[in-house]
Amino acid sequence: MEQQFARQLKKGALEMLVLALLDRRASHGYELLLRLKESSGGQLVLKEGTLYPILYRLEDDGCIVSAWQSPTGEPQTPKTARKVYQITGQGRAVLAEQVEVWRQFSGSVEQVLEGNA
Amino acid sequence: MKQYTVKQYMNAIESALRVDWKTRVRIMNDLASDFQSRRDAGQTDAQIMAELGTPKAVAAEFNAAFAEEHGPYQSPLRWVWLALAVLLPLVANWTGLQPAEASSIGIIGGADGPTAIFVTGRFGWSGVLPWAVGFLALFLLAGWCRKARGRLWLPLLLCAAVSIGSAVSQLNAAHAMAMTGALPVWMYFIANVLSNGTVFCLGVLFYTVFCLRRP
Repeated sequence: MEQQFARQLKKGALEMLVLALLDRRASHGYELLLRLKESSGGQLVLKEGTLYPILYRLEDDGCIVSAWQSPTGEPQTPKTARKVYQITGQGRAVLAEQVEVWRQFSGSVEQVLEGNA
Repeated sequence: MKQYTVKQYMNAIESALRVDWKTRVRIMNDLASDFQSRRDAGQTDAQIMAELGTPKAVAAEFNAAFAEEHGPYQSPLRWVWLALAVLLPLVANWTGLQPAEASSIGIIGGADGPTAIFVTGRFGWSGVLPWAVGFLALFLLAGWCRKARGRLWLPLLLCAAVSIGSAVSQLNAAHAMAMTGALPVWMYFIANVLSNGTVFCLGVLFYTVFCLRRP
C-alpha cells in the first residue's frame, strides 16, 4: 500500500523533474540518472528501465528531442555516440504548466495536513 | 551474477524484452548509449553490468513500465499461430483423402475396415485437430491470456481434452493397425501421435502449465 502510493506519486512527478533538468541543460540518459540522484540528495535513485520509458513518452509528446552526439560534439553513429536529450519549446511550456499545478497542489496538500479543520 | 560479455548481456536483455519492435530498437540504442556514458565515467564493463542488474531484471523494469502504459504485450507472432490453427484443418480437408481413395489404399496395403477408417480420419480436418488446437492455444497464450491470469485455464483445458482424447483414439487405431500390419502396436501409436499433433498439443499443454505456475 505504502509502496504503491509512493510509486504513483513518483510517476507523476518524475516526468516534470526530467523536464526541469533538461530545461537547465541537455543530457544523455546516464547523466540524467546522476543529476536526479545528486539534485535530490540521493533520494531519487532511478534505474534505466524507469527513466527511458519516461523519456520516450516525453519525446513522443514533442516535449523533448534526441540526437546522437559524440563526446566532442559532432553527430555520429550509434556505435560510439551518446544519445542526448534536449527540451523543446513545447516542453518548456508543458514544464511551466506542470510546475504551476504542482506548486498549487503541494501547497494545498500541506495546508490540509497542517490544518485542523 | 553469471559472467556475460557485453554482447551476450545486451542480447539477453533484448530477448527478454516484451515490447513492440520499434520500442525494442529504441531501448537497445539507449542502453548502448548508456554503456558508453558509463565507460566515459570510468566504470569497467563488469561494474556497469553489475550496477544495471541482471538482463532479466533490466528487461523486467522496461516490460513493467510499458505494460502499465499500453496494457500487456501481445506478441505479433500470435497471428501466425492463429493462421496455422485455421489453415491446417482447411488444407487437410481440401487435400485429404476421400473415403474411396482411402479404401483403395487400404486394399493395396492389405488392410480391412478399421485401417481404411483410420486413414480417412487421419487426413480429414479431424486428423489434424490436435495440431490446430495446439496452435490455437499458442495464439491465446501470446496475447489474450496475458490480460488476465484466469484466462490461462482455457488453453489448458482445450489442450488437455484434445491431447487425452486423441491419445486414446490413436491407441485404438494403433491396435487396429497392428492386427493387420507388420509392426508392433507401440510403433503405430508413436507414428500416429507424432503425425496428428497429439505430442505437439501435449507440449503446448505443458507450456501452459508452466505459464500458470510462473509468478
